[in-house]
Amino acid sequence: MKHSLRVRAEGLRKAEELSISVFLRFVGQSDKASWSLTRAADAELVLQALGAPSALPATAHLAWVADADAPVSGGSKNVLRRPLQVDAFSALLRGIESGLDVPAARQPIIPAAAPASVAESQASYRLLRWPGDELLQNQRQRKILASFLVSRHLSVAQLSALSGVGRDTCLEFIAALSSRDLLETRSAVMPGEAARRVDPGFAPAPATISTSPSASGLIGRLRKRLGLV
Amino acid sequence: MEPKIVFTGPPGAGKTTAIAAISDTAPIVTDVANHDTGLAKARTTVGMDYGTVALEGGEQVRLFGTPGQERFDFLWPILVKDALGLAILIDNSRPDPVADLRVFLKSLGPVLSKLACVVGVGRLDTHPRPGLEDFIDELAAAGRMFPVLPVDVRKREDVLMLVELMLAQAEAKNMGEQA
Repeated sequence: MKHSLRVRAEGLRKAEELSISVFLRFVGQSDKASWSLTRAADAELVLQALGAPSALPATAHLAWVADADAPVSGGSKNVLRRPLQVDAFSALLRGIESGLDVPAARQPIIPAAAPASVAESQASYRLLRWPGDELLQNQRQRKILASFLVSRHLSVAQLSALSGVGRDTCLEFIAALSSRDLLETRSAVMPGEAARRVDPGFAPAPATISTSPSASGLIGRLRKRLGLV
Repeated sequence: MEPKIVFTGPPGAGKTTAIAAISDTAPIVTDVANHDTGLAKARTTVGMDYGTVALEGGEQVRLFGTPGQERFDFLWPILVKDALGLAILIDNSRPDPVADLRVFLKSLGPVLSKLACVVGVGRLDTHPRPGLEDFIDELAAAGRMFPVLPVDVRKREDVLMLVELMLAQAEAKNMGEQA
Protein backbone atom coordinates (compact mmCIF):
# COMPACT_ATOMS: atom_id res chain seq x y z
CA MET A 1 0.00 0.00 0.00
CA LYS A 2 1.10 3.51 -0.70
CA HIS A 3 2.37 5.28 2.40
CA SER A 4 0.87 8.53 3.55
CA LEU A 5 3.75 10.46 5.04
CA ARG A 6 3.87 13.85 6.63
CA VAL A 7 6.52 16.47 6.88
CA ARG A 8 6.62 19.10 9.58
CA ALA A 9 8.54 22.36 9.45
CA GLU A 10 10.13 23.32 12.72
CA GLY A 11 11.52 26.78 13.26
CA LEU A 12 11.60 27.59 9.56
CA ARG A 13 10.78 30.93 8.05
CA LYS A 14 7.25 31.41 6.79
CA ALA A 15 8.55 31.78 3.24
CA GLU A 16 10.39 28.47 3.58
CA GLU A 17 7.25 26.70 4.77
CA LEU A 18 5.43 28.07 1.73
CA SER A 19 8.24 26.89 -0.53
CA ILE A 20 8.00 23.41 0.94
CA SER A 21 4.25 23.33 0.37
CA VAL A 22 4.81 24.25 -3.28
CA PHE A 23 7.60 21.68 -3.63
CA LEU A 24 5.30 19.02 -2.23
CA ARG A 25 2.79 19.64 -5.00
CA PHE A 26 5.39 18.61 -7.51
CA VAL A 27 7.66 16.10 -5.84
CA GLY A 28 5.49 14.96 -2.94
CA GLN A 29 4.02 12.03 -4.83
CA SER A 30 5.85 8.87 -5.82
CA ASP A 31 4.93 5.25 -6.35
CA LYS A 32 5.82 4.60 -2.71
CA ALA A 33 4.50 7.56 -0.81
CA SER A 34 2.24 10.54 -0.73
CA TRP A 35 3.69 13.41 1.30
CA SER A 36 1.81 16.25 2.89
CA LEU A 37 2.69 19.16 5.15
CA THR A 38 1.49 18.89 8.73
CA ARG A 39 1.79 20.54 12.09
CA ALA A 40 1.29 17.23 13.90
CA ALA A 41 4.01 16.31 16.34
CA ASP A 42 4.32 12.76 15.02
CA ALA A 43 5.22 13.65 11.43
CA GLU A 44 7.44 11.13 9.69
CA LEU A 45 9.88 13.84 8.59
CA VAL A 46 10.81 16.95 10.50
CA LEU A 47 12.63 19.76 8.72
CA GLN A 48 14.26 21.74 11.44
CA ALA A 49 16.10 25.01 11.26
CA LEU A 50 19.65 24.54 12.41
CA GLY A 51 19.91 25.76 15.98
CA ALA A 52 16.17 25.64 16.71
CA PRO A 53 15.14 23.74 19.85
CA SER A 54 14.13 20.16 19.05
CA ALA A 55 11.10 18.23 20.28
CA LEU A 56 11.61 15.33 17.91
CA PRO A 57 9.68 12.08 18.46
CA ALA A 58 11.92 9.03 18.37
CA THR A 59 10.46 7.63 15.15
CA ALA A 60 10.77 10.68 12.92
CA HIS A 61 13.36 11.39 10.31
CA LEU A 62 15.15 14.63 10.88
CA ALA A 63 16.69 16.93 8.31
CA TRP A 64 18.33 20.24 9.05
CA VAL A 65 17.74 23.44 7.17
CA ALA A 66 20.88 25.49 7.29
CA ASP A 67 22.33 28.60 5.71
CA ALA A 68 24.44 27.98 2.64
CA ASP A 69 27.73 28.30 4.46
CA ALA A 70 26.74 27.09 7.94
CA PRO A 71 28.90 24.24 9.25
CA VAL A 72 26.89 21.13 10.13
CA SER A 73 28.39 18.29 12.12
CA GLY A 74 27.86 14.75 10.89
CA GLY A 75 28.11 15.52 7.17
CA SER A 76 25.63 16.87 4.68
CA LYS A 77 23.40 13.84 4.13
CA ASN A 78 20.33 15.23 5.87
CA VAL A 79 20.92 18.90 5.38
CA LEU A 80 18.95 21.21 3.10
CA ARG A 81 20.83 24.39 2.34
CA ARG A 82 19.24 27.79 2.00
CA PRO A 83 17.75 28.87 -0.30
CA LEU A 84 15.76 25.63 -0.46
CA GLN A 85 16.20 23.75 -3.73
CA VAL A 86 13.58 21.39 -5.07
CA ASP A 87 16.05 18.76 -6.26
CA ALA A 88 17.64 18.48 -2.81
CA PHE A 89 14.22 18.30 -1.18
CA SER A 90 13.10 15.65 -3.63
CA ALA A 91 16.25 13.61 -2.99
CA LEU A 92 15.56 13.78 0.74
CA LEU A 93 12.03 12.43 0.30
CA ARG A 94 13.12 9.69 -2.09
CA GLY A 95 15.89 8.70 0.30
CA ILE A 96 13.44 8.26 3.14
CA GLU A 97 11.05 6.34 0.89
CA SER A 98 13.81 3.97 -0.14
CA GLY A 99 13.99 2.83 3.45
CA LEU A 100 10.30 2.04 3.65
CA ASP A 101 9.45 -1.60 4.19
CA VAL A 102 7.65 -2.22 0.91
CA PRO A 103 8.98 -5.22 -1.06
CA ALA A 104 9.11 -4.30 -4.71
CA ALA A 105 7.24 -7.40 -5.90
CA ARG A 106 4.32 -6.64 -3.63
CA GLN A 107 3.99 -2.98 -4.37
CA PRO A 108 0.35 -2.16 -5.01
CA ILE A 109 -1.00 -0.52 -8.09
CA ILE A 110 -0.94 3.20 -7.62
CA PRO A 111 -4.24 3.99 -6.01
CA ALA A 112 -6.84 6.36 -7.29
CA ALA A 113 -5.37 9.25 -5.36
CA ALA A 114 -2.40 9.48 -7.68
CA PRO A 115 -4.08 11.22 -10.60
CA ALA A 116 -5.31 13.88 -8.23
CA SER A 117 -1.77 14.59 -7.29
CA VAL A 118 -0.86 14.75 -10.95
CA ALA A 119 -3.65 17.22 -11.49
CA GLU A 120 -2.31 19.25 -8.58
CA SER A 121 1.08 19.32 -10.19
CA GLN A 122 -0.57 20.82 -13.25
CA ALA A 123 -1.78 23.82 -11.30
CA SER A 124 -1.15 27.03 -13.19
CA TYR A 125 0.21 30.30 -11.94
CA ARG A 126 -0.03 33.96 -12.86
CA LEU A 127 1.75 36.93 -11.39
CA LEU A 128 -0.26 39.25 -9.20
CA ARG A 129 2.46 41.85 -8.96
CA TRP A 130 5.83 42.35 -10.61
CA PRO A 131 8.49 41.15 -8.16
CA GLY A 132 10.92 43.59 -6.66
CA ASP A 133 14.69 43.63 -6.69
CA GLU A 134 14.92 41.08 -3.90
CA LEU A 135 13.89 38.36 -6.34
CA LEU A 136 15.03 39.73 -9.67
CA GLN A 137 18.07 41.94 -9.32
CA ASN A 138 20.75 40.92 -11.81
CA GLN A 139 18.85 37.73 -12.60
CA ARG A 140 18.04 37.85 -16.29
CA GLN A 141 16.51 34.40 -16.33
CA ARG A 142 14.11 35.19 -13.52
CA LYS A 143 12.98 38.39 -15.22
CA ILE A 144 12.14 36.40 -18.33
CA LEU A 145 10.30 33.73 -16.35
CA ALA A 146 8.30 36.39 -14.54
CA SER A 147 7.37 38.03 -17.86
CA PHE A 148 5.86 34.79 -19.12
CA LEU A 149 3.61 34.83 -16.05
CA VAL A 150 2.38 38.40 -16.61
CA SER A 151 -0.29 37.79 -19.19
CA ARG A 152 -1.76 34.38 -18.41
CA HIS A 153 -1.75 31.36 -16.13
CA LEU A 154 0.95 28.82 -16.92
CA SER A 155 1.77 25.47 -15.41
CA VAL A 156 5.35 24.72 -14.46
CA ALA A 157 5.61 22.44 -17.50
CA GLN A 158 4.32 25.16 -19.79
CA LEU A 159 6.62 27.76 -18.26
CA SER A 160 9.57 25.45 -18.70
CA ALA A 161 8.65 24.68 -22.33
CA LEU A 162 8.07 28.31 -23.27
CA SER A 163 11.19 29.63 -21.61
CA GLY A 164 13.54 26.76 -22.27
CA VAL A 165 14.47 26.88 -18.58
CA GLY A 166 14.67 23.62 -16.62
CA ARG A 167 11.61 22.45 -14.71
CA ASP A 168 13.35 22.49 -11.34
CA THR A 169 14.53 26.05 -11.84
CA CYS A 170 11.01 27.09 -12.85
CA LEU A 171 9.59 25.31 -9.82
CA GLU A 172 12.01 27.01 -7.46
CA PHE A 173 11.10 30.37 -8.92
CA ILE A 174 7.39 29.59 -8.58
CA ALA A 175 8.02 28.62 -4.95
CA ALA A 176 9.90 31.84 -4.33
CA LEU A 177 7.08 33.91 -5.85
CA SER A 178 4.48 31.94 -3.95
CA SER A 179 6.27 32.45 -0.66
CA ARG A 180 5.92 36.20 -1.19
CA ASP A 181 2.24 36.02 -2.16
CA LEU A 182 2.99 37.24 -5.67
CA LEU A 183 1.10 34.49 -7.48
CA GLU A 184 -2.45 33.59 -8.25
CA THR A 185 -2.77 29.82 -8.37
CA ARG A 186 -5.39 28.07 -10.44
CA SER A 187 -6.03 24.37 -10.00
CA ALA A 188 -6.11 22.33 -13.18
CA VAL A 189 -8.87 20.09 -11.85
CA MET A 190 -12.32 21.04 -13.12
CA PRO A 191 -15.53 19.69 -11.56
CA GLY A 192 -16.28 17.36 -14.47
CA GLU A 193 -12.89 15.77 -14.20
CA ALA A 194 -13.52 14.08 -10.87
CA ALA A 195 -14.55 10.83 -12.53
CA ARG A 196 -11.28 10.57 -14.35
CA ARG A 197 -9.45 10.71 -11.04
CA VAL A 198 -10.71 7.28 -10.06
CA ASP A 199 -10.14 5.69 -13.44
CA PRO A 200 -6.98 3.63 -13.03
CA GLY A 201 -6.39 3.94 -16.75
CA PHE A 202 -6.27 7.68 -16.59
CA ALA A 203 -2.92 9.04 -17.49
CA PRO A 204 -2.01 12.67 -17.18
CA ALA A 205 -2.01 14.61 -20.40
CA PRO A 206 1.46 15.56 -21.51
CA ALA A 207 2.43 19.19 -21.31
CA THR A 208 0.61 20.90 -24.13
CA ILE A 209 3.80 22.46 -25.44
CA SER A 210 6.91 20.52 -26.18
CA THR A 211 8.77 23.45 -27.62
CA SER A 212 8.13 27.12 -27.89
CA PRO A 213 5.19 27.59 -30.26
CA SER A 214 6.82 30.63 -31.75
CA ALA A 215 10.28 29.16 -32.09
CA SER A 216 10.02 29.21 -35.84
CA GLY A 217 7.50 32.07 -35.99
CA LEU A 218 7.95 35.78 -35.89
CA ILE A 219 8.93 35.94 -32.24
CA GLY A 220 11.43 33.15 -32.64
CA ARG A 221 12.99 34.76 -35.69
CA LEU A 222 13.18 38.14 -33.98
CA ARG A 223 14.82 36.57 -30.94
CA LYS A 224 17.34 34.85 -33.16
CA ARG A 225 18.02 38.03 -35.11
CA LEU A 226 18.62 40.04 -31.92
CA GLY A 227 20.75 37.32 -30.38
CA LEU A 228 18.26 36.55 -27.61
CA VAL A 229 18.44 32.77 -28.03
CA MET B 1 0.99 44.32 -42.01
CA GLU B 2 4.56 44.28 -40.76
CA PRO B 3 4.98 43.89 -37.03
CA LYS B 4 6.14 46.80 -34.95
CA ILE B 5 7.59 47.55 -31.54
CA VAL B 6 6.85 50.95 -30.05
CA PHE B 7 8.90 53.01 -27.61
CA THR B 8 7.05 55.73 -25.80
CA GLY B 9 7.67 57.95 -22.80
CA PRO B 10 8.15 61.59 -21.89
CA PRO B 11 10.67 63.84 -23.64
CA GLY B 12 14.24 62.95 -22.80
CA ALA B 13 13.50 59.40 -21.70
CA GLY B 14 15.65 57.96 -24.46
CA LYS B 15 13.23 56.66 -27.08
CA THR B 16 15.44 57.72 -29.99
CA THR B 17 18.53 56.27 -28.31
CA ALA B 18 16.75 52.99 -27.57
CA ILE B 19 15.73 52.58 -31.20
CA ALA B 20 19.25 53.40 -32.35
CA ALA B 21 20.57 50.69 -30.01
CA ILE B 22 18.84 47.87 -31.86
CA SER B 23 17.89 49.23 -35.29
CA ASP B 24 19.75 47.84 -38.29
CA THR B 25 20.16 51.32 -39.67
CA ALA B 26 20.41 54.74 -38.13
CA PRO B 27 16.88 55.67 -37.17
CA ILE B 28 14.98 58.25 -39.12
CA VAL B 29 14.36 61.05 -36.66
CA THR B 30 12.02 63.99 -36.78
CA ASP B 31 13.70 66.17 -34.19
CA VAL B 32 13.45 69.93 -34.22
CA ALA B 33 15.03 72.60 -32.11
CA ASN B 34 13.46 72.59 -28.69
CA HIS B 35 11.74 75.80 -27.66
CA ASP B 36 10.09 74.28 -24.59
CA THR B 37 11.96 75.79 -21.67
CA GLY B 38 10.72 72.94 -19.49
CA LEU B 39 12.87 70.48 -21.42
CA ALA B 40 16.60 70.42 -20.82
CA LYS B 41 17.53 69.34 -24.33
CA ALA B 42 18.43 71.15 -27.54
CA ARG B 43 16.27 69.07 -29.85
CA THR B 44 13.11 67.05 -29.36
CA THR B 45 11.04 64.65 -31.44
CA VAL B 46 7.86 66.09 -32.87
CA GLY B 47 6.95 63.37 -35.34
CA MET B 48 8.16 59.91 -34.66
CA ASP B 49 11.40 58.03 -34.81
CA TYR B 50 11.65 55.01 -37.04
CA GLY B 51 14.03 52.09 -37.29
CA THR B 52 13.91 48.52 -38.50
CA VAL B 53 15.16 45.05 -37.66
CA ALA B 54 15.35 42.83 -40.73
CA LEU B 55 14.38 39.19 -40.37
CA GLU B 56 15.09 36.16 -42.51
CA GLY B 57 12.84 35.95 -45.52
CA GLY B 58 12.67 39.66 -46.16
CA GLU B 59 10.29 40.45 -43.32
CA GLN B 60 11.14 43.27 -40.96
CA VAL B 61 10.07 44.49 -37.58
CA ARG B 62 9.51 48.24 -37.46
CA LEU B 63 10.60 50.23 -34.44
CA PHE B 64 8.63 53.36 -33.66
CA GLY B 65 9.37 56.08 -31.16
CA THR B 66 6.45 58.31 -30.32
CA PRO B 67 6.74 62.02 -29.71
CA GLY B 68 6.97 62.43 -25.97
CA GLN B 69 5.27 65.74 -25.37
CA GLU B 70 1.82 65.43 -23.87
CA ARG B 71 0.22 67.56 -26.56
CA PHE B 72 0.81 64.63 -28.91
CA ASP B 73 -1.00 62.16 -26.67
CA PHE B 74 -3.72 61.62 -29.28
CA LEU B 75 -1.04 59.89 -31.39
CA TRP B 76 0.05 57.37 -28.77
CA PRO B 77 -2.89 54.95 -28.96
CA ILE B 78 -2.83 55.13 -32.75
CA LEU B 79 0.85 54.24 -32.91
CA VAL B 80 0.70 51.37 -30.42
CA LYS B 81 -2.36 49.72 -31.95
CA ASP B 82 -1.52 46.16 -33.01
CA ALA B 83 2.06 46.49 -31.81
CA LEU B 84 4.00 43.37 -30.95
CA GLY B 85 5.15 45.16 -27.83
CA LEU B 86 5.41 48.51 -26.11
CA ALA B 87 8.16 49.96 -23.95
CA ILE B 88 7.26 52.90 -21.75
CA LEU B 89 10.52 54.69 -20.95
CA ILE B 90 10.63 56.89 -17.87
CA ASP B 91 13.29 59.48 -17.06
CA ASN B 92 13.76 59.38 -13.30
CA SER B 93 15.50 62.76 -13.30
CA ARG B 94 12.30 64.54 -14.27
CA PRO B 95 10.31 66.33 -11.56
CA ASP B 96 7.61 63.67 -11.12
CA PRO B 97 8.42 60.44 -12.96
CA VAL B 98 5.53 58.49 -11.42
CA ALA B 99 3.12 61.12 -12.71
CA ASP B 100 4.76 60.76 -16.13
CA LEU B 101 3.92 57.07 -16.07
CA ARG B 102 0.38 57.90 -15.00
CA VAL B 103 -0.05 60.16 -18.05
CA PHE B 104 0.85 57.33 -20.42
CA LEU B 105 -1.27 54.76 -18.60
CA LYS B 106 -4.24 57.08 -18.81
CA SER B 107 -3.74 58.10 -22.41
CA LEU B 108 -3.17 54.58 -23.66
CA GLY B 109 -6.04 53.29 -21.57
CA PRO B 110 -7.73 50.10 -22.75
CA VAL B 111 -5.19 49.57 -25.53
CA LEU B 112 -2.79 48.38 -22.85
CA SER B 113 -4.92 45.33 -22.08
CA LYS B 114 -3.98 43.81 -25.42
CA LEU B 115 -0.32 44.76 -25.40
CA ALA B 116 2.86 43.14 -24.22
CA CYS B 117 4.25 46.07 -22.30
CA VAL B 118 7.33 46.81 -20.22
CA VAL B 119 8.34 49.87 -18.21
CA GLY B 120 11.98 50.92 -18.28
CA VAL B 121 13.15 53.47 -15.74
CA GLY B 122 16.26 55.43 -16.67
CA ARG B 123 18.77 57.46 -14.66
CA LEU B 124 18.06 55.50 -11.47
CA ASP B 125 21.77 55.57 -10.74
CA THR B 126 21.78 59.33 -10.31
CA HIS B 127 18.14 59.71 -9.24
CA PRO B 128 17.22 56.68 -7.11
CA ARG B 129 13.89 58.12 -5.97
CA PRO B 130 11.20 57.19 -6.78
CA GLY B 131 12.21 53.54 -6.72
CA LEU B 132 10.98 50.70 -8.89
CA GLU B 133 8.42 49.74 -6.24
CA ASP B 134 6.78 53.15 -6.63
CA PHE B 135 6.23 52.50 -10.33
CA ILE B 136 4.94 48.99 -9.59
CA ASP B 137 2.49 50.56 -7.13
CA GLU B 138 1.36 53.09 -9.74
CA LEU B 139 0.73 50.32 -12.23
CA ALA B 140 -1.23 48.39 -9.61
CA ALA B 141 -3.33 51.46 -8.85
CA ALA B 142 -4.20 51.62 -12.54
CA GLY B 143 -5.06 47.92 -12.59
CA ARG B 144 -1.96 47.07 -14.63
CA MET B 145 0.93 44.73 -14.04
CA PHE B 146 3.93 44.97 -16.34
CA PRO B 147 7.62 44.30 -15.89
CA VAL B 148 9.39 47.29 -14.39
CA LEU B 149 13.14 47.42 -14.59
CA PRO B 150 16.02 49.85 -14.55
CA VAL B 151 17.36 50.69 -17.98
CA ASP B 152 20.22 52.58 -19.54
CA VAL B 153 19.12 52.99 -23.14
CA ARG B 154 22.69 53.69 -24.19
CA LYS B 155 23.42 50.05 -23.46
CA ARG B 156 22.21 47.69 -26.16
CA GLU B 157 21.85 44.83 -23.67
CA ASP B 158 19.45 46.90 -21.56
CA VAL B 159 17.27 47.67 -24.58
CA LEU B 160 17.38 44.03 -25.61
CA MET B 161 16.17 43.05 -22.14
CA LEU B 162 13.15 45.30 -22.61
CA VAL B 163 12.43 43.62 -25.91
CA GLU B 164 12.97 40.15 -24.48
CA LEU B 165 10.47 40.76 -21.68
CA MET B 166 7.96 42.05 -24.25
CA LEU B 167 8.43 38.96 -26.38
CA ALA B 168 7.95 36.63 -23.42
CA GLN B 169 4.60 38.24 -22.70
CA ALA B 170 3.62 38.22 -26.37
CA GLU B 171 4.49 34.56 -26.64
CA ALA B 172 2.43 33.63 -23.59
CA LYS B 173 -0.49 35.68 -24.94
CA ASN B 174 -0.22 33.96 -28.31
CA MET B 175 -0.28 30.59 -26.62
CA GLY B 176 -3.48 31.52 -24.82
CA GLU B 177 -5.10 32.61 -28.07
CA GLN B 178 -4.09 29.38 -29.78
CA ALA B 179 -5.38 27.19 -26.92
